[in-house]
Amino acid sequence: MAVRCAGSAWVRGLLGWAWPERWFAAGSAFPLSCIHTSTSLQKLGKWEKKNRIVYPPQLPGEPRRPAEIYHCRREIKYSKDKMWYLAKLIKGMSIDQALAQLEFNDKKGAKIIKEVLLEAQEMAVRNHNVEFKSNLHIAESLAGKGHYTKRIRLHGKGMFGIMKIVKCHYFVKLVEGPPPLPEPRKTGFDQAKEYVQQLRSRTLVHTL
Amino acid sequence: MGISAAPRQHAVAMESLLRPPRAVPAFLVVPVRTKRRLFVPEWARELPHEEKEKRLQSLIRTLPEERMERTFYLACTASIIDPYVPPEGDARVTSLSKEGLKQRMEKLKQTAASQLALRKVKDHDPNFSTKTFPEVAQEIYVEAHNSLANFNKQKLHSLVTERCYPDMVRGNRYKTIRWSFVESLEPPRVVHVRCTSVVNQGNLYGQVTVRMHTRQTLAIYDRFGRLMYGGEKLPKDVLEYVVFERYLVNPYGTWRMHGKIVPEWAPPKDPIVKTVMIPGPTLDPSQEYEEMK
Repeated sequence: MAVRCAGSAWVRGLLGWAWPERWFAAGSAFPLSCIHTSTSLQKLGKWEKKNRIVYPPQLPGEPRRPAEIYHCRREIKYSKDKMWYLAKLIKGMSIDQALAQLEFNDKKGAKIIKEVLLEAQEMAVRNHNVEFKSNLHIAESLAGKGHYTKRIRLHGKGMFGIMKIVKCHYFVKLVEGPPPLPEPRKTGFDQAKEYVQQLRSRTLVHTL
Repeated sequence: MGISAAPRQHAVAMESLLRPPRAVPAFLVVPVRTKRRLFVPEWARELPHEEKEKRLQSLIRTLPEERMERTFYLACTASIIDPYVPPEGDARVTSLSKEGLKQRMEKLKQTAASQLALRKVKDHDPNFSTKTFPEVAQEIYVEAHNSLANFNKQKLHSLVTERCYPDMVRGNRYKTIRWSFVESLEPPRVVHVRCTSVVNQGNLYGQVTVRMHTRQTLAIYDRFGRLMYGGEKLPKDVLEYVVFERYLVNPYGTWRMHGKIVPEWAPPKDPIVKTVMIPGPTLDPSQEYEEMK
């Protein structure tokens, strides 16, 4: 059933002086302005698409697959080299420990990364069926280069330099479960044992 | 001297008449007006509000009506009209006791409104019958759930109305659903028929409620293949009142699933496998939770 009703732009323009309040009350039965026809606005990056893979159902005997949540923030106004220090700080920590460390860190990027982690935690609990929000640890945390814009920076004596306005991306992957134990450091005794083992495992060739 | 002096004085006097003695600068400044924006005609400036309205109404009637370029088509109603109220303890009472018999006696023929609506539906669709329709309805139901499990969107759209589709599909995009229909415990029957018109008179949509008592299995797995709800080898008895709708005026319309009626006395569903945190009240640093309680 096709719907038709009166109302056109030029009529409104003619009589707009008398009924200005009409323009606010768009209370017609079928307001067209609410119909969206666009599908997606921006091109999605590879990291965002990683949240879309669906694994087949697990058989009853298999160990439970830990949930993985990918999150990122693009075009942060910060240097990627400075952001790297914070990303390296968090790598391998549990999410509570990471949040605590970032809260008392003085860098500008710390506040941004904290927001990203909280968003990711919220997403995990709501959309990705993670049961306990503290049961997450940070498996990967990276900083990448964003788009740079070049500007002129004026020096004395009519000289100028080209300034780069620097932006970065930050990527994080949260995995369900306690954080993995750090590998124990290799002591001198272990190294010596290995050396002796190497010597003993040599084979003599072309001899009796 | 005397003869020429008089006309010169006369000329000066004439000039002073033509050019009044004001301080006129050498260049002339002409003020330019901005464009008139909000123009209210004189006759409208002083009138009270009702007078203005009346005059405008008469004007509008003379102006031509323009058509909307984008037309749209309503293929289904937005809700269940006059929902069926299922009797208490429907499947809990055996049909051999007195109450059970009473329930069985409450057939479609006793409600007058359903009869009227049924007559209207039969006008538009002569092949419709309350005896054959429930089987067709059950087939549609099974097919719709199968295509939901297989994510066959085109088929699902043809079996389910636009109002029901988002209810079925919401939240399932990254999940795996396994559903199977084991058997039907009681033969399905029509319990309720209604007919409505939307927007214009005679724009008829017919809604039929079918009562189904069936056994089904449902298992929902999340994105990582972990079981979220139900079990694949766990059949459950399900009593449902499913509403089917058809756009009667359209000769190519089909009966499609429109929604379900959940009675208040329905038993609660099984809980999901995971634990959910319900946040408590926000406290000041000086307060304690035990004091608040």
